[in-house]
Amino acid sequence: MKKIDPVCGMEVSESSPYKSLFGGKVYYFCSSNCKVAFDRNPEGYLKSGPQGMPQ
Amino acid sequence: MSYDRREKIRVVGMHCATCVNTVTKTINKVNGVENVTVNLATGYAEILGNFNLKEVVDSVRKSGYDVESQDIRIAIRANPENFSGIVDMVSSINGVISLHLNPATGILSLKVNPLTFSTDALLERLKGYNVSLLESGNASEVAIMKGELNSMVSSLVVASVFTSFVLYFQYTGFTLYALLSSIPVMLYAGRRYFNGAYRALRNRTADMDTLVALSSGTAWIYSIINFLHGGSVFFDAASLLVTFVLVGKTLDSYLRFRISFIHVPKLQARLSTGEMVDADQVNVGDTVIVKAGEPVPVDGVVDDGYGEVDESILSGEPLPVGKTKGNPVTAGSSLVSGYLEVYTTRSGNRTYMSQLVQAVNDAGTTTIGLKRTVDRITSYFTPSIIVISVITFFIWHFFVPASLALLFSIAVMASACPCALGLATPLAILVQVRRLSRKGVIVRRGDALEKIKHIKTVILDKTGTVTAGQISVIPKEIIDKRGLEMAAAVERLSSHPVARAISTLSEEKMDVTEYTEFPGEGVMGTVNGHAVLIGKREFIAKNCELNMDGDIIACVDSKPIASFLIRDKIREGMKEFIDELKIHYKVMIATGDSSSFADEVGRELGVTVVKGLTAEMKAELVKVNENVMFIGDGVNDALAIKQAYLGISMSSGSEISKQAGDVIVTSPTAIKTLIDGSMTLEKRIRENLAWAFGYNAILIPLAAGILYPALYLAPQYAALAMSMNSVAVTLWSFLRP
Repeated sequence: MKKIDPVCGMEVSESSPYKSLFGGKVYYFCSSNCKVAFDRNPEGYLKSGPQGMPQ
Repeated sequence: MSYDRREKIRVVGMHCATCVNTVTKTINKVNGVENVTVNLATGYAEILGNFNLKEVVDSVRKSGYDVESQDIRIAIRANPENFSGIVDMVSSINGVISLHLNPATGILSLKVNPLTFSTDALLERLKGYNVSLLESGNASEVAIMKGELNSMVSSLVVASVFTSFVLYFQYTGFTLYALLSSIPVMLYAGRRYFNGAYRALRNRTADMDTLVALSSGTAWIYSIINFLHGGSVFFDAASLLVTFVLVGKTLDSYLRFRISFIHVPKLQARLSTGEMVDADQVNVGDTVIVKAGEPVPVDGVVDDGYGEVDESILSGEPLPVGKTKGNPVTAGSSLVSGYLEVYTTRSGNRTYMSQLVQAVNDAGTTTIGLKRTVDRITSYFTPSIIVISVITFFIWHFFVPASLALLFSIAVMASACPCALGLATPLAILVQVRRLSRKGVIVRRGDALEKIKHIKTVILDKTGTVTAGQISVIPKEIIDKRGLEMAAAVERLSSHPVARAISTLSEEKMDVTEYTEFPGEGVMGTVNGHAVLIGKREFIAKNCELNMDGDIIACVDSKPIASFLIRDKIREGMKEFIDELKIHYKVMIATGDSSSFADEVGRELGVTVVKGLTAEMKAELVKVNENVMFIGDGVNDALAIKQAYLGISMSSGSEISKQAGDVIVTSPTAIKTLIDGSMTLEKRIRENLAWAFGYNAILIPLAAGILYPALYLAPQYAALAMSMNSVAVTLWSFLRP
């Protein structure tokens, strides 16, 4: 099933190796960059939605 | 060296736009790259500019992706002093990523980009050399070397027999028969030198073949002319010269053939049907039976049985290790006692042992900086000898008859040995890489030995590297025993050492669904309809109420039900080793563990501990420090090992970390052996060079007649002495303790 990367907004598959658990829910990412950015500020991304590729 | 080029490579592992960004940025940073276009759909990256392809590939790999490449091996017959010219020539061909030329075997191993490399272009460039493409594996290399050795032996036999006729006829006055007997010596046995000289001339260089051909050819043709005009003849000198050079060169080839390869032993495997087959015919998934006293023929996992396995060949660890169902075994180790049924995961040349042997064979052939300098000197050597030889003739012909002056000049050419100079550095590297491999230090990239002296920072992973990795988990607080059984059931599905330790706390088997692992953080799953979560404190804090102390917390339905402390043992000798490292380097420990135990380890060893790091954060730590040697073992260390200036992985570690390492060691303290080995290498190279240069420096003036008439070195003896120089360098390299 396709999921949305909460950091860059891309569609990602559930088989992506980059994932985080936050508030009991699993989030999937397209790359380690997005995962690292999310882990630093999960609430920020969940509140304001995808903000494009982290630099 | 860099070239104007346009390359198209296939990048493996890109699956999103961020990957494209990362790869584009990474390639753009490489020196000389002017333009990069990366296509996510096809995986192709097109690169323009004046860049080095190897740097591009290395940088892409360091950033966590891979580049499709192909291995090609070819055998080349050339003199060692020509090797660096061949390497330069081949590295300028489009699509060549990297190459190693084994000085002992003349085997050129290439890593190429299959999209732009053409074998025809390679063969066209090497036209003039005797070149053959090899199948993978080293069986065909051995066959080629054996063939070469056999051909040298048959040349030597012909030369020896006919030279004895030449001597007999010349000293008994039958000069015509001496001339006739010398023909097979010169034109059959000596043809390799004349062919070689012609090839060198076509490539506008001069090498040992040039000197042998010039010296023996001059003596022979001069003798034929004099024979026709009734002057003095030197058929004996010309024939002996060729024979003596062949004696030395055959001996040298034999020695190098004997020591060129580390052979993977041919193993036999017993299938479950009882049938014995060659180990490389076993397929993945086959069950193999190993009885006490037999070697393990494949890589695999024990399916049934129990036994003690001697793994010293791989780990250097002398004590046999107990193996039972579920434990991995490796081809090449041997079963000391017991009985095992092994499920095959890898066989033939894909086993860990075969790959290591291949890596060590290749690493021994790396070119290092010092070799480049020596190669430059060597390229001037032969032309200088020819000049010295002409000057020798010119000076002597004022004082002695022209025929004797000519013999002096021929002796100069026959005495000079550029081969030994060409062999001095690569043989020292080859020997050092082999020696270290016997001490449990597997050098996968030869330049690792050169990099050691530039290291500024040493970063060690904690679990499994600084500590023994035999983790014990101590329950701290248990509120719900049933919940603990559920947590143990979920942990049973993970291979992490902490998870394995927790899984042993309960024997009860439960069905786990929706299992998900978050590497370096924790795991979750559903047991009997309950959501079970277990992991590090920080991971739990984001997903569950947290009102418990401990390093690892287990939660059921968002309520903590148990907590644990993690303890491990610092490896023996680690304190002394780190104290020694601290004298020369900045030392720190990087760990994913965020428990209080990490701080304890730091305090005990007296080093800074950076804790709670993910794989990416470890790699980042490597990036911000100067010239880092990173030592690790886990999956989460692989990125940092790749990123490091020198990446070292532990042989007991994960497969992925071993693939990333430049060097594989059995224990961190073996790094001391590696550091010592690198220092010894530099010393050995200097010794070899001193020997090779010194030998020439003494022999050439003697051949030129500097001590004449007190000491006269006839051309044939000068040639014998010359050919023994490479034998001496080879022996010196291998026999020196």
